[in-house]
This record gives sequence, structure tokens and C-alpha cells, in this order.
Amino acid sequence: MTEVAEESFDFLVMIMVDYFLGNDEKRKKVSLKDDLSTRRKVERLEAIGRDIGRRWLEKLSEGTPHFSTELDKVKFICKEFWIATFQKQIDNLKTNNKGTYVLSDKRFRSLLHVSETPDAIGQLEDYIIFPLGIIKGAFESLGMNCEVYGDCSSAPSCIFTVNLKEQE
Amino acid sequence: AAYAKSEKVSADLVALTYGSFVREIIKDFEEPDQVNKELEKLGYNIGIRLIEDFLAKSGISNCSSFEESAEIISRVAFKMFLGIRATVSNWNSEHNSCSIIFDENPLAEYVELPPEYTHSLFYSNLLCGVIRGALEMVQIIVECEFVKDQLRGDDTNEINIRFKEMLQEQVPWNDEE
Repeated sequence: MTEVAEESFDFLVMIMVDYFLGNDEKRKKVSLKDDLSTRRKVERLEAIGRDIGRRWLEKLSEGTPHFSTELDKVKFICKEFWIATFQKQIDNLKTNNKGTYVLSDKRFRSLLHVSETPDAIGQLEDYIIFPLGIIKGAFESLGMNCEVYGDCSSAPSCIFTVNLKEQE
Repeated sequence: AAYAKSEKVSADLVALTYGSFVREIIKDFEEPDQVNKELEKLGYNIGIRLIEDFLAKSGISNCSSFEESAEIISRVAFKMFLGIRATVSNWNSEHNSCSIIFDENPLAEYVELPPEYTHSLFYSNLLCGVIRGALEMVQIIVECEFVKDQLRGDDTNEINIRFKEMLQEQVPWNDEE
């Protein structure tokens, strides 16, 4: 498998965040949750992430044996998928056995550079939209529809809560 | 050697991400010329930020001439950021224009352009902007454009770089004098 420098991927994602949400200056003025048009922008960036996550997981899971349980699927995401996407595996996985999984990553890739820049505090959430989309897409690709939330209040650590939806 | 220092990401993930991004830009701008322009602009915004990282990691001190810079871009930067081999050729007699040629393009893996875009869209035009932006930060003003693209059926990929001018470093005013 050919490889490129992680910086190249970081720069690409950074420019996508700028493109879809507007540049730093614009973003500082509007708090993301307030504004309807901003919410649409966020949804679009997340949707692109989901699309990429879905296709990326399909590629990664080519040739892996069929997952027999839900937990096997989640473990695949926490390990193989996470390493391939974020360069390390999840540090801790918890579940209530009722369809909620809590994944914690002590040094989440997408927050590493941002959390070093003091100016960027308050904008950490902007940088998590796209990866949240990727993660959601990965779960969906394994037939698990879900909502994914990310808590990055102690960046670069990030805690993801995945709530599976009832299967229709 | 400089390249070994950084962590790696699968080229597949990068190609997938770039492809989705280009598709969205096409939705927004429609006109291939406009898409090319936008990709170049986005690349420029990467280039002006990437140069610092590049100089730090490669240990190269400021690029002093256009010729030297072209060599560094092809031999060091393409290898470091994209993991590919590139060469400089097609110097003109005035030595103010040359080409960077590369056979592999990680951005364009698995890509097939729809027929209506084959001869109008420069899918990887982002790279032209990256080069222009990075060089501008070391005071070298250039224009870049794709002249060959494998997605158009060409045998290789070729970016032409034309040297425009060298900027003078501005000496900041000293208020006390």
C-alpha cells in the first residue's frame, strides 16, 4: 500500500474545514450552533465525512472474515479502522450492553495540532465534525446505524459516545 | 531521509478524501475553469502554511534561486509529502521556466473523469497552488499549470512552473530612529 506523509492529509483536512465552514476569522464571529446556515455547513462537512468513512471501511475490511457479533464489529473499528485512519488504536472501550459504546482516545489525531495553538480553543469542535462523520460512516458501513458524539473538552483527548439506533 | 521522519497515512485514504472534496467543489462551481481556479486557490492556502513545516523538517535553509527551488521541490518535497519521485526538466533557454514531471499521482488513484470534464478539469490542480504558495513565502513569485495529466490520457503528469520575479525582503521600520 502506498503511503503519504500524515502532514499532507492534515493539510487537506484543514483546507476542507476552511472551505466548508469558512476561514478562521469568519468562524470566530459566529458561534456554530446559533446560525441555521452554519448548521447546514456543518451537516454538509459531516455528510462528506460519512461518505468517506463508509467507503474507507469497506476497503479496509476487504478480506476480513465476516463479523459474528456486534462487539467484533466495534472492536474492528477501535483497532484496525482507528489505526488506519488516526494512526493509533482506541485507548479504552466501554459499553452498557444496550447499544451504547464509549470510545476514548487520549491523543486524538484530529485535535493534536489544533490543541497546541491557544487561538484555536473554542474551535476544537470545528475540527471534530469531519472525523465524527468518518466514524459514523464506518459504523454504518458495518450495518450499525448510530449517532456519534465527541467530547473534546480535554483536548487532545477525545471521548466518543456511539448510540446505536434500533434496527428497523 | 527527511521523509522518514514523518508518520504515514495510507494513500488510499488521501485519494478517497481528495476525490470527495473535488466532487463537492464541482457541485459548487460547475464550470471546469472555475473548479480549476478554486483548486489552485485552496492549494495556495496550503502552500503558504506548508513551507514552514517543510523547511523545518527538511533542514533546508532558504531557497536562494528559482533553479535551486525547482530541484528541491521535485527531489525533496514531492518525496516528503506525497511519497513519489519527481524530476525537473524542460528548462527553457532563459532558465525561467521548467517542468516537474511525475508518473505516480497519489491524489488521482482510482479516478476516472466523466467525459465532459476530461479535457477541461485539472483534477490535481491543488498541487499547482501548493507550489505557488510555498514559493511565495520564500520570496519567489511563480505561475504554475498542468500541461500533462494522466487522467487526460497523457503518458505522465507534468506541471510547468514559470518564474515571474523575486521579492525583496522588507526591512521593518525602526520607530526609535
